[in-house]
Amino acid sequence: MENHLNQNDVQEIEEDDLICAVQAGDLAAFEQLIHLHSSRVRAFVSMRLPVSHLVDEIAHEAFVFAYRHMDDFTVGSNFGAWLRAIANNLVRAEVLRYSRSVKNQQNYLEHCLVESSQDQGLKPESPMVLYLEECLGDLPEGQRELLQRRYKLSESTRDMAQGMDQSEAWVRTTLCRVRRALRACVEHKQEVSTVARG
Amino acid sequence: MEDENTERLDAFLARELPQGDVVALEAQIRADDSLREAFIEQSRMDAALSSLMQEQQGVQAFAEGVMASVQARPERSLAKSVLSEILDEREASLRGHQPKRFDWWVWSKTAAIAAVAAAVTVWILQSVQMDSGQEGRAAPTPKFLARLSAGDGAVWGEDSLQAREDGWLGAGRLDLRSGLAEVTFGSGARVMLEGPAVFDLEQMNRGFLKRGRLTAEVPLPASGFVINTPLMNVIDIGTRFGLTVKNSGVSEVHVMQGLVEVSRTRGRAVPIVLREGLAVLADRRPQSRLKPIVYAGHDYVLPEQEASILATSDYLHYGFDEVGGAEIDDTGLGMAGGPFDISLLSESESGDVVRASPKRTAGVVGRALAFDKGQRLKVNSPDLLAGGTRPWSMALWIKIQAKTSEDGEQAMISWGKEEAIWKLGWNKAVGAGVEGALRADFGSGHVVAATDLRDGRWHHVAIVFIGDEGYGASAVGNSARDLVDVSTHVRLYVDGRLEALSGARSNTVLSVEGGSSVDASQFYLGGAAGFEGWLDEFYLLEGAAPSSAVLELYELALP
Repeated sequence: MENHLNQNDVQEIEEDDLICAVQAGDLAAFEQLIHLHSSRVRAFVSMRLPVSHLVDEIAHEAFVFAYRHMDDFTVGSNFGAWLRAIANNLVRAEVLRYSRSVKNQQNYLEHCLVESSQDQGLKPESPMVLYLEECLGDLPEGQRELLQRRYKLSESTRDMAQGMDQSEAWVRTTLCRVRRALRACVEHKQEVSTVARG
Repeated sequence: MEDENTERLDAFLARELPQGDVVALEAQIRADDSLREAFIEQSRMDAALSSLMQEQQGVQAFAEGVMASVQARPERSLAKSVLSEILDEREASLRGHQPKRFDWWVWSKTAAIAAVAAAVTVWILQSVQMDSGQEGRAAPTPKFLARLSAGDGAVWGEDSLQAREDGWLGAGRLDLRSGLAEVTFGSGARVMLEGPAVFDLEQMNRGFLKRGRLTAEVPLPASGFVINTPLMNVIDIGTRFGLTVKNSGVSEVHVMQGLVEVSRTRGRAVPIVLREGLAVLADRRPQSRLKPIVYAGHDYVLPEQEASILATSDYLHYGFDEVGGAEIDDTGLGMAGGPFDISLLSESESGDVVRASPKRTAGVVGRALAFDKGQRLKVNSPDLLAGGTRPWSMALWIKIQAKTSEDGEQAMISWGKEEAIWKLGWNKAVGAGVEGALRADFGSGHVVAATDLRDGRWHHVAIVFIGDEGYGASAVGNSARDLVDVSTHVRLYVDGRLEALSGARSNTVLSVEGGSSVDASQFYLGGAAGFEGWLDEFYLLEGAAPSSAVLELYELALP
């Protein structure tokens, strides 16, 4: 009987090879691991602590920490989950550090985002980012285009409106609705998964 | 109303909401729980989508940043192998060999080691990605690691490392026969040596005390400062310790302030953390442990209080704090030919006098200038910058948005012409080092730091050109005058901390003695074509400022 590997299996095999190579001292292999995982780790950190300058800093430190402790990682286990666990610890430490500084509390909006991360239930073992990717894939073409323009092409709202022959108000409200719908979709997938696990 | 709020939220997330409306939105969010919840949820999804859908270029820049850190901050968990590496390097250098190098990354060995319990940042200066600028040339190594900053009756041995006239020291051995000598490392760590003492300068943040006594005082940006002895490795995590090494190599450390990590170099090498008021001794017995001894920190001579750089150096300064008018005052002191006031009125290409934005805006202290593409300010330049290899230092606060136009200017300051142009700015070139990091160019050569500055926040940056003023035939390990190279004679600092280099390309800086000089009748704030970002609290100082001075200028603007 033939065995067929799906894309995830191929990635895991490739990933295991890369991890072994890093553990053997191959630095270039670590760079490939960063390419494989950086977007998801940053997305995970973003969902935990959506402050842009902290997202990059924490994701950066998570990879540096992972590199330094690569020998502690068991090849074959879930590298992405390990990275998320590291990032999660760094988020907790950062929130603690942040909340100790009176100066930081002067920026109310940022303060709100940091505070909210304390009572947020996102666990590192939860594949929320994967769910989000799936939800993105299910979006209608028009909504995907809107997101591509905003997040991939970094277009201004005015350019987006002109490019899509819509008003700026339409762009803004639609983007908010799409983000709200994505959140609902992710939460739904999580509920289904929880029910399925019994 | 709901739609209005929705639109405002999106405008805020897209960074398109005017400042006045941000204040209004903040007030509404404070008062309205459901709006606050919507703000948080929208922010989460917005940040996650930004991360997931980022272009390959952004992923590459992130990977480069991580790789620069990984290589600049070696693995700490393998303490023993790191220490072995230090010893291997020392042995290799004694045998006249260079340490083993990787293919395209050049490592100098461990200068500083990171944290035990607290988050202590560590760096070494020389993980440098070399551009293939000059064939056959070795990767740049800084010519100067430290500066002889003070001394009281110091008598040096004949073979002792000699300092440049202005005190700069390269790598090598200091043989202090008697008296006191204070050495300030590139990282900002200061060491007071009590003669007789033999002390090796090894890296910007590392030394080796063969015998004698010293006191080390380490400011926060230099945390991770390492002193090794024949029997002991001492890593400063806090601020001050005293160290004594007897002729037999027996070593003792006394922690006066903060935390210090100590381990033996052989036998039981498990590190321990000592806090203030504690002392230990490492003896020669191979299986011996570190032994607690009576604390005697008060017996050590402390480094002198440093004088302010603004009291000891001539300088030019723009605070940009004028409330109105077309003039920006030079509020500096003592710079020959000054004051160098700037006019906000300048000539357009057609020759008409126009008001040349940059615009005044809120700064780190008081006001700042916001530059947009095509905007720059011409400054009548002090002779200092025309001096070819004459040392100078610049420090300023900058703010750069995460997104700038693709064809925008990377230099925020420039002067010179043709092959002899200095440009100080940030790195846009893929492959030259970390994108968005502080960068200094002279002609075809450059150095690039390791911290991406494009985050929409204020950062203090400093560029120190060590140059060659007073560099004599008897100086640091050379029988003849060394070439001054942009890749080895420039130091970059961000937020008070000496930066690791993520890229460098060699190019000799023209010297006046060589028959040419840099054309510096003017220099430009905003670069040649107009920097996109904010500038504040600009200082140009005579001479190569030590790390402590850079830290001082950084801290001046802190609350």
